[in-house]
Amino acid sequence: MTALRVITQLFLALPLLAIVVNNLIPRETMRHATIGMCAGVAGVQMLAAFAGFAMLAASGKSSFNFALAWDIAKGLNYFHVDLVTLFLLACVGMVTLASTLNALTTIDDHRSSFTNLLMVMMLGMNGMLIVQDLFSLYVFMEVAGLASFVMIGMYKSTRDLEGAFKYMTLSALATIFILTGLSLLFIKAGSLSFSMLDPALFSGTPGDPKTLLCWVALVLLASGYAIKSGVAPFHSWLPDAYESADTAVSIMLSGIVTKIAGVYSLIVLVRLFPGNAALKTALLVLGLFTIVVGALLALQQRNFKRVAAYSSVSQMGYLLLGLAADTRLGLIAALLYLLTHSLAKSAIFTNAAALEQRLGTLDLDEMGGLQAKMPVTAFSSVCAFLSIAGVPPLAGFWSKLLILIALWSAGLKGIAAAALLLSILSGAYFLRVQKKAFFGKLKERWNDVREITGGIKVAEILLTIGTIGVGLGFPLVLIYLAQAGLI
Amino acid sequence: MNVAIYICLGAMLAFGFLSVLSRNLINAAISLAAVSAACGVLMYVLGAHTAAIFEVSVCSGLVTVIFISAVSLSNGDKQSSAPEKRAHLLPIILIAIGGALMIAAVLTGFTLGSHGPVGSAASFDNVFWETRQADIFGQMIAILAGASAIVVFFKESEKK
Amino acid sequence: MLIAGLVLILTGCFELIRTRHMLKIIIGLELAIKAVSMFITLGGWLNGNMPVAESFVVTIIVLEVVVATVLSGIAISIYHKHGNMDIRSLRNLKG
Repeated sequence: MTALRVITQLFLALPLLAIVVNNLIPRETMRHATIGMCAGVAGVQMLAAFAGFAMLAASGKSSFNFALAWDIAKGLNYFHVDLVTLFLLACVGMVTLASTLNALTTIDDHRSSFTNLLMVMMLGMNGMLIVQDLFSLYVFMEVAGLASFVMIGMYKSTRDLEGAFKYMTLSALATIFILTGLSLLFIKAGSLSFSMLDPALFSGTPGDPKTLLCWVALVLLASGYAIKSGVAPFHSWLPDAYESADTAVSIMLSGIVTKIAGVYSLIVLVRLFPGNAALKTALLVLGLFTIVVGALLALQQRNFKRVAAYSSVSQMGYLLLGLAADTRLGLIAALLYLLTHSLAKSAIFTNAAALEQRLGTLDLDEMGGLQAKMPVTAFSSVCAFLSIAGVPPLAGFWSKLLILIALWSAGLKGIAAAALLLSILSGAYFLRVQKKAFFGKLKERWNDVREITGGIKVAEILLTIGTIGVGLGFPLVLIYLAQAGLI
Repeated sequence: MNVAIYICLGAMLAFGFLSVLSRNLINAAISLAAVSAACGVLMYVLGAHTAAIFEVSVCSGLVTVIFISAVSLSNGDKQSSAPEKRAHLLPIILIAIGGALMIAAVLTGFTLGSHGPVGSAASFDNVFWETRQADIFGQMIAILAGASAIVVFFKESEKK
Repeated sequence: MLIAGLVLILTGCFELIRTRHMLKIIIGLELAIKAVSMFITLGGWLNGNMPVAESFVVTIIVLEVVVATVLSGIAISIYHKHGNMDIRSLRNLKG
């Protein structure tokens, strides 16, 4: 297992190393290389996570504990990976890679700060995925949040700062909820590490005030994490934050930060307290509500990025539904949905970057007929939106199907039917965007527009290949799951 | 000891309300510092000596300084054009809720039990440095992020 | 004791949500976090597990300082752009 040991060290060591290198080498020399270095770190993380996943699966163990390098000798292990977290670590690496490819073109100023913050964000998310303690989970979530606030506001234009401030305020509210919930749990539980918390906390002599506090704590924790995931009715910060940030940052935010910070915490909650009926019901209701609200609001938007933002809100609802099924299949379905959504959303935001670079505007009413001029972007956008709407044979279709199967087999048949119907809404807003931006008559203004080049193009192509590839390869996953008896 | 606890709690509440309701930002900051001090004393009484030190020195001191420098950097004392709607009703509502809860608690015999067993003989140093390294690592990174934030926000931008 | 803390937290939250002055939002946040630290210390006292509670409180204090700094940084930058600290002027992003 020594290879695994080395690999797990990388998740924390690499971004840290990147920060150190970035700050030690004088700025001028670094200017060209710094974002490339980030891309390198992201790529390595993705590969390392895949390798780790394969190794862990092959070895048959379900998890692996480790610690920071110099503490291993002391026999401590307070970090921990298992198959779920390794999968998510790979997703983190992938989205960061897409983001850096975009950043090569779109970020000109403050490059070294961008690198610092991006690496801090990665560290925050990696940290969230590998700790074993609810409090440390909170600490790293706050770190990732801090990095994202600053990145949103980095260019100090009026809109950036506004988005950052609104996000910070709601996030502060979420922090208060989460911390209060944690402290109430702590009163009864005595410790917040995963191994010490179990569902027995919620039973116990009725009327025992401490148990009541635990229930209150659960409500608070779930609400706090829901705010962080951008679930309706707490979603108001999300579109503002995504829209006002630079596109490379939006990719990171939508592709991974919201998911890891919010949804992974909910995953942790569900895994810690399985069978908790109140939690499941809450997730179901929130999930359905979110899907509807997000899709309806997406239909009215004029700005390309805002449509994408509301679409993200809506898709989070599906993730919640998968979790609410509270079965292993539900968890797997939610994770795979996370992957396909990250792929598709990153592609969409990459397209937004391309449009912004070439057109200078993201207003849908001003676009039109761009398919002739920007074929790669148009195709990539079509694939991404189709994937989100759940059209076969793209990746999104399979993962949505899996969530529906999970709900069905968990006995929540009505919910599954409702979710199926609601995906029609997703199709609706996608059609509108595509029609306005890419099809139709070419407007006079855009006669000289050429296709995007460079890092953004590479990102678009890679992500589209990813979406199509995962879609084509999905049946293999289904076969595997059937063999494992899960379907 | 109970008396001390109640005094601290009362002080925290009083200064808390004061800081929320005061018009002047500097007064608000000073009230916040007073809340921190009261909280620190409370923590000391409960037995958390190290945390009390941290609380008093960092929150009463550092955060207040940061806040006041933010105020002075932005001339925040200028009254905004429309006076802020005073939520005078708020503390009364809150005190009423608090009173109601207390009555309910007394009636239902809601107590949290007393001082638990002094389980670990381990001191703070032990626990903090030995077991909570993940948190320490997180704190370092958070400080890093804060430093980058300061660089980004406080550097005068040469090009707008 | 819990109730006092609860009232404090509620106060902080209300302040956070309802105030219009940017810097007062920070005060609301700080107030609420004080109350949470008090809860945690209380929990440690009841549990007997005081050192762990103290570690939590110390970590929270550090994080809170960083958050307060970043928030004031953003607030000051907004002030330079808009000339006031009123959040009603942050209405540019619509929809």
